[in-house]
Amino acid sequence: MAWSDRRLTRRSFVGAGLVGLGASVLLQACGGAAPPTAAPAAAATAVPAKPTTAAAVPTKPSEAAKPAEATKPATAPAPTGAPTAAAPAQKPAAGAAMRALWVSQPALIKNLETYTQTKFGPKNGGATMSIEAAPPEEFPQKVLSSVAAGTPPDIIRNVNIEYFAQFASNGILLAIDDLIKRDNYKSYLDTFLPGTVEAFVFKGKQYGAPIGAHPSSFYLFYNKSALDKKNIKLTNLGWKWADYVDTAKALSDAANKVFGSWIRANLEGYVVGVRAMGGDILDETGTKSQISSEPAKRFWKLMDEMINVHKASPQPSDVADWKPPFAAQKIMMANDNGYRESFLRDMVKDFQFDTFVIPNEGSGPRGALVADAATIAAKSKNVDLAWEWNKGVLTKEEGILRVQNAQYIPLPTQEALLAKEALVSPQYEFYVRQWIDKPPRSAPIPANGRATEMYTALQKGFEPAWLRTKPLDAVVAEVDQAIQAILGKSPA
Amino acid sequence: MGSLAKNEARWGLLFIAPWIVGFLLFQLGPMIASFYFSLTEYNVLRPPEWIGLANYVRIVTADPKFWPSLGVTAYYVALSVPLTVGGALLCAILLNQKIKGRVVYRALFFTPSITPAVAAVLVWVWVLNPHYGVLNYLLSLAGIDGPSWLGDPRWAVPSLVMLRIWGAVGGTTAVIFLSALQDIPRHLYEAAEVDGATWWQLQQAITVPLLTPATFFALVMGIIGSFQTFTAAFVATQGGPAGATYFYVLHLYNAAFVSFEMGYSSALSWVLLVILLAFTWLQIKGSERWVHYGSG
Amino acid sequence: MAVAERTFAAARGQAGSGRWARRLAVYAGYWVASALFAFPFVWALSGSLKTPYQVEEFPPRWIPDPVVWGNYAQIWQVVPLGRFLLNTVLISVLSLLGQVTTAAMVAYGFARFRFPGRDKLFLLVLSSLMLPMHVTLIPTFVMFYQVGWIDTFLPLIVPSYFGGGAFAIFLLRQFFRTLPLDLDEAAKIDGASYPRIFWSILLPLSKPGLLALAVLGFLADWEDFLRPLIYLQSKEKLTLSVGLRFLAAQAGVALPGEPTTHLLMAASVVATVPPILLYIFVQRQLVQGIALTGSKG
Repeated sequence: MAWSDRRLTRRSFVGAGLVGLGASVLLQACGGAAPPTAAPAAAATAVPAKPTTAAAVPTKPSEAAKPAEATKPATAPAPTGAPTAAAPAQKPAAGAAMRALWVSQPALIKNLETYTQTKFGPKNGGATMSIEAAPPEEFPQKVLSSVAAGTPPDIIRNVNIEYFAQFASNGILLAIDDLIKRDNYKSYLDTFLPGTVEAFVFKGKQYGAPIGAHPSSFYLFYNKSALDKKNIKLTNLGWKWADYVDTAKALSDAANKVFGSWIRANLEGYVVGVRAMGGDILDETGTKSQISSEPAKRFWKLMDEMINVHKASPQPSDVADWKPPFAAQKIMMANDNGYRESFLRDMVKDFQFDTFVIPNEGSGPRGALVADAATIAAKSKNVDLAWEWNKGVLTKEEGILRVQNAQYIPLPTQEALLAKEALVSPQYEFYVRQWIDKPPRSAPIPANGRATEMYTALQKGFEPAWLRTKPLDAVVAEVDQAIQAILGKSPA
Repeated sequence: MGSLAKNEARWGLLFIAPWIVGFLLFQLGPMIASFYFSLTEYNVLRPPEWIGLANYVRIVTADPKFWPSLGVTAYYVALSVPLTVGGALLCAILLNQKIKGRVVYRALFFTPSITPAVAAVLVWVWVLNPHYGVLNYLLSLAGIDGPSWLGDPRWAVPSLVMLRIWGAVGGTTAVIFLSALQDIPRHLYEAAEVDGATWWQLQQAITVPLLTPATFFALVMGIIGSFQTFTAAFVATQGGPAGATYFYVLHLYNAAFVSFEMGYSSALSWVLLVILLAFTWLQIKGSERWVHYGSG
Repeated sequence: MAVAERTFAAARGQAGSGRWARRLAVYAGYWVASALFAFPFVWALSGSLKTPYQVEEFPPRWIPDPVVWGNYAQIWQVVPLGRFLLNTVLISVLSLLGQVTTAAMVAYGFARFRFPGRDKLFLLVLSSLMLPMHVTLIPTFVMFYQVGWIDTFLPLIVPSYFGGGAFAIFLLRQFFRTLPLDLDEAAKIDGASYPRIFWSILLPLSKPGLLALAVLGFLADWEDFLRPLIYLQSKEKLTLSVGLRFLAAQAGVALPGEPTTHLLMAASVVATVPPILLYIFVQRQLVQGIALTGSKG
């Protein structure tokens, strides 16, 4: 082809090489500091005409924590102590455009974006928070790379039973004890339900407060119309697993691919299930696996029989999200978190659904506390602003709004949970009261902080049993061994 | 050595200097570093801690995922390499036929191999969906109740192999085969045809032996490449279901970037290197028996 | 000669019916293979023009109705797709420039010079073809971390400026070896220096090889996944391959609870069009270039 030959002259050849190298060097110069073009449009419009408190915020957390004049009660909109004249000398727009790295929870991200635009931004000189959703498999790697790059997101989503300990122990997260003290925030944190704030303590330091929490999958959703037809009533809180199995069997119709029940097949589902048999996944010290203890084995056997013998549960790998099949009356009962009820209200059209709790044959309370925090990155350049954003998300009003918008797990303060506006349905109220009356123990976390690995080992480890590619006993032994090996590793 | 030769050698070395620097900087140096890391416990954020051979011991004795991931990878290699190399040969034979519109066909054969892998996987995941995928629909037209493909532990690897075949058979390997085919002197065929040989006999007596060098090359590179398969499994299955697609490199990636165990992951990478070297060496040894480096 | 040809024609005539069968088989093979190769493209295109729920219809609908061109506009709103495209082009082009220039130099060194250890060094080049990138992955990551290059394009570009990789060197060396040595010798007698010979004789004759390499390099960078995955972090810097994954996550935010496959298909189409266009423009040189790597050297 002639055109290509003409273009590839010798001069352009070497010239191109030099240009390329030059451009690479140039890229490096830009790359470290900022993306090649100007900041995103949102940030550009956010640069305010008048100096703001946001721009004048000192960058180091230790410095930020010290000025006594900034001490204000938690309700204060923003620290007001900083002088205005110094603003231009500092990186002007740097404080205004923040980033958060999130994983999953699309509906919540929308909610947080609204909060940022309508409340946080106007109060903080037009500051922005761009929330990036990462695919779950990439999340830890993205966090590590961003820390390595020296440009971490300001806020990192953290779940107590996943990466939290690993991130905290590697110094990725900022301890907020000083900020709490500075802003007198402890009194507000004390109103959170027991255990929820403690979920984000690592080696004696506080790394965040939960913007949401829940007692995990002890809650049972059921197709009330279908149960009524079979004349089954779920009213006995003391019902047994045998009753549960019978109900699921009665509701199943294998020929039409209708399943009586769906049990969550991940760490949360397993922990809650094993606890409901009277056992646990780990011992209290978080150093010993209880996967092959008697109560745990009872639960594994139950799962296996539900799926493979009674055909009363679908293969977990086939149904990642139970809600669409539930709405289509292909799944009749499902155990999950209470807040999922809000999603169902929009989806279920052809029948009535109601909620109950799964059986509990153990002596402890049902469930396992799972909490979700927007933690601040240790190397964030906008610590104070990020903390302001976080505090805004933690207010009772925002918590209620999230529940009302049928979008998210509740803020774990009694005030927000039992506020009249927040009790959006009888099902939800039942759930909240169950939780408050019998607060669950925290989900088990390995003492060495390798929670993510345990989570994956458990979830992936049991797949062969449900799919029957290996005998259940062998799988239990293998998972037990794998978990014990993880617990035996050095700290994360 | 004369001064002329010395001058030549100096210039030669000067010309290959970029590679020498690059080799030291991006290959030899990192390899040494990687070997050092493999003897330590290291997570990037804290300095490495010397632990001797503990990582290697853990790999062979205490890593519950090492042997399964190696087995799954070997299965994938064993299934995909012969099928892709054979398929590429078939494509090359087809493309070597005189037919109208060959350029268009060649483009159609080649484009899957230049489709970005992630895009291809996303499309295939949808095609293979057990509930609303088009493949199972087409099968149902033929009265076949299709499997869950990527969701079924027995079918997950074959599904990925299918994806691989689609994306590879018409690509570079086929082109190399095609040029080897075209290098075969016509007179060999003509002479044999005069002797009354059938098409099939021609292939066996002439084409196959003369293609052995290209086949050998394709096999060696195919094995090395498919041992490192990652993207499709990472995007489509994350190693599931039931670990059916938990390939070796996925394990290596998870150790490094999910568990932050860079030292352990480095050890895994050295084990991979040794395995690949052993395979390649065996193939070279074995090739003396079947690869035909003719004078043609 | 004439006799031989007549005999040959006669032999072919006898096998006439067999030839027809073979011809039919060839055509059938072409059609079936083409259909299999083309199908996913057609299906992706169809999916990219459907409404969210049509994508999950069963039985599937072949032709979207209505045809939603807006899907293509929508991906631009959900993620900075233009940015991803630009980044990918930038990285691919800058990296292939380095690859072609330095690989040509190195290949010239290996193809035309005698110096001690040359063949051993070349064997080293070839054996690094077999080196899995994972062995160097972590130290390279750490090295780029130390120099502050994480979340920049540099780790994806700069290494190309050091010989462009074993494959590139091999390809161009093969190409140079097809050029007659007499040209070099004649120039040498005329008193031309080595750089001059490289510059004025070999390079002008090697355009097809250089072009083939450039295209192959571009295509490889275009679809690279693991390296951008670990080196690029912020949204504005992603390439198409990792950007597609980002889109998969981000599309859920734009359409909570709704299927997003139609958007992923649209983005996949966008990511696939440039390589195909490139192929159409340079297919002859590309095919010749690949063929070279298969020949013995």
